[in-house]
Amino acid sequence: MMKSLIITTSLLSGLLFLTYTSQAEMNAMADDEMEAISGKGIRIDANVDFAQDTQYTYDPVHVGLDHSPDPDIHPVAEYYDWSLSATDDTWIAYAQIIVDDKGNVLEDRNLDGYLDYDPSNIPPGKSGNIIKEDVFNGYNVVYKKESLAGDGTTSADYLIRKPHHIILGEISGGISFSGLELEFVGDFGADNKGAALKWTLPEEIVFNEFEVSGIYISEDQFISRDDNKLIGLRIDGPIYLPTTPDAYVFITSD
Amino acid sequence: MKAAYAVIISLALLPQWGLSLESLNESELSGVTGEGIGAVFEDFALFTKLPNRPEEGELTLVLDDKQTDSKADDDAFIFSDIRVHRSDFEYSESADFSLAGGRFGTEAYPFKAGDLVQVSSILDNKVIDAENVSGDGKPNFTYTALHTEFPGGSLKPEDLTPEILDQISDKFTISLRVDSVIGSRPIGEQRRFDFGLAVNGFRFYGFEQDIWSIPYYGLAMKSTIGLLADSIVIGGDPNGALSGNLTLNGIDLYLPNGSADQPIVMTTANVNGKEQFQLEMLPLTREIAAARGGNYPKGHLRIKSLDFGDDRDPQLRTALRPGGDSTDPEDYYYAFQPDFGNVIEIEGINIQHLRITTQDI
Repeated sequence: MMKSLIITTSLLSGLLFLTYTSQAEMNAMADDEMEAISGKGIRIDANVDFAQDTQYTYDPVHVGLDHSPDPDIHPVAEYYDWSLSATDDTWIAYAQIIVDDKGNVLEDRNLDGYLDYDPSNIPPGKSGNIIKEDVFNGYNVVYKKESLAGDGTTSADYLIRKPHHIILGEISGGISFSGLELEFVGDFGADNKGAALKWTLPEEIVFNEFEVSGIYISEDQFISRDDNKLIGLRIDGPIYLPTTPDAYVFITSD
Repeated sequence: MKAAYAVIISLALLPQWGLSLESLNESELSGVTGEGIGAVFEDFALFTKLPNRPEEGELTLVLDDKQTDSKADDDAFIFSDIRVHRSDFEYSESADFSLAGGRFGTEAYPFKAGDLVQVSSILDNKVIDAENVSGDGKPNFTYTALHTEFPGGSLKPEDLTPEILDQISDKFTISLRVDSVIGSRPIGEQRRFDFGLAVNGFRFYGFEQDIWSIPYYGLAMKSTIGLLADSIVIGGDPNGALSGNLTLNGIDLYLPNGSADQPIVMTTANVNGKEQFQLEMLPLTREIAAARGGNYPKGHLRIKSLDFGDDRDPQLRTALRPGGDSTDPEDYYYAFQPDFGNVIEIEGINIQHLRITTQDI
C-alpha cells in the first residue's frame, strides 16, 4: 500500500513538472517526436491508506503522572494536543500570509490577536496594532470603530485579525481504484492534431470510511480541544464511473 | 503506516506574490497570459448506486460530533444516490449505463487553470476639472491574478447562442437524496429522509474565478456563476416522484461576485469566544458605484415558471381543453401548472456588501 502511494505521488510530481516544462516551451512537438511517445501510457492501480490505525481521544493526556517519582518536582500537566498524542495523524494546515503595502510580512508582535505595523513601515505617530482606516488598502473603505468591547479589545472590523490556520484534520480511511490509465495522444481536438495527456478514469473508486474528521480553525497548525470545528466529512462506499470517462489535459494558448 | 504525513501548506505561491505586489508589466504578462492548462471530459457520468450492484456510496457532512468517539450520536446530513449523467439518459433497472456519459468542455471551451490575467481598478488617475485634463488614465491599481474557469467561463449572457451552448458541453442532469440525522429522533431511527433534489438539463456558462493577493487583506478573489437549467425539482417523497414536488422550470442564473475594486476576502472572526471562518465581499463605495455607471454588468435570476406537484399529475387536472383528446395528458388544464405566468425575474443584482460567517447552532 505504502509503495503504491509513493508511486502515485512521484508520478504526480512528475506530471506537474511536465506541465511546467511544457508551459515554458510552447512549441508543439514535431510529428516524429510525437510518434515516439504517442500511444504509450501508464496504468495506475492504487490502494491508499490514510493513517487508518490512528486512535485519537478527546480525553486529556496526563504527563508525568506515571513517570514522576515526586509529583511536587514534576507536577502533573494536562494537554489535549492531538499532535503530541498521536504520531501518525494525517492533516493539512493552511494559513494566509498578510503583507503591508511594501510587501513586509505582518505579524502579531504584541500577541493580542491583531496584526501590528512592521517596524520598517510605521506611519508617523502610530504604533502597535494596525488600524484599518490608517492604511491605504486600495479600496477607499473606512471601517468604523464599531464595537468597543468592555475589555478594551476592538472589533475585527477596525483592526486586522491575525490569520488563523484552517486545518483539514485527522484524515483517515482508505481510497482504492484500479485501472486509471494515462497516455499521450496526438489526435486531440477538432483537427485531430492536438497533443494531450489522456486520462482514462477507473470504472469504480472505492472509499473505505474515508474521513476528514473536522475542518478546524486554530491559532497554530495543531488541533487542540478548544479549536473550533466547523464541519466534518465522510465518504464511504463506491463511486461508479460506468462509462470510464476520458479526461484530456492540454496546454491552452492565446 | 507509521510515517507522519503532516503536510503544512503555506501556499508556496504566496510569499512570492506578497513580496512582489507590483503587477507584471505588459511584456512580462503577454509572455504568460492565455497560456494555462486546459481539460475536457468526454463520456462523463457518475453514480453512487447502480442497479445490480450491492454496494452503494454516500457522502456525510458531520455538523456536530458531540465530541464523542461514537458516530451514532452525530448530527449530520447524508447525501446518497448521487447521479450525474447526460440529461437524455433515463436511469432504470434495465438501462445500459455505458451510454450515460456526456461531454463537458471542448478544445475551444475547456476547463482552464493556471492562466495569469490582470485585474485593474475601474478608477484611474485622470482628473478632469473646468480647464484641464490631467493624468494618463492609468488604473489606480492593477494586480496579476490566477484565473480558473469552467467551459465557457469567459462568456457573458449576451454572447450565448444555441450553437455556442452546444459547444460548451452536453446538457447534464444531477440528482441526489438528502437525509438528516439531527437532534432528537425516535429510538431506532437512524436517519430521516429530507428531500430529493434534481437539476435537470443544466449547463454552466460564465463560470470563472480570479485569485490574487492584496496588502492588509491577503487573498482576494472575484468569481462569476452562470447556470442554465431546464428545471430544478425538489421532491418531498422518498419513493420518488409522487406528488410532493416543487419544480422551477427554465432557470437562468448569472451572478458576478466581487471585482478588482470590491474583492471577496477571507478571514476569521471571534464570535462569542469562538473563532469562526468569515468570507467578506468588501463594501461598494459611492465612488466605485459612480465610476461603474449604468452599463456595468449585473446579475440576474430568471425562472420561467413554477409548478407545484408532479408534472402532469392526473390528480391535479381541472378540465379538458376545448376539443381535447381525453387520453392525452397534454390536453388537460392542471392546477398550479399554468400555461402562462408564474414567472420570476430578478434583474440587476448588485451586491453592496456581503459577509458570511460560520456559526454554531
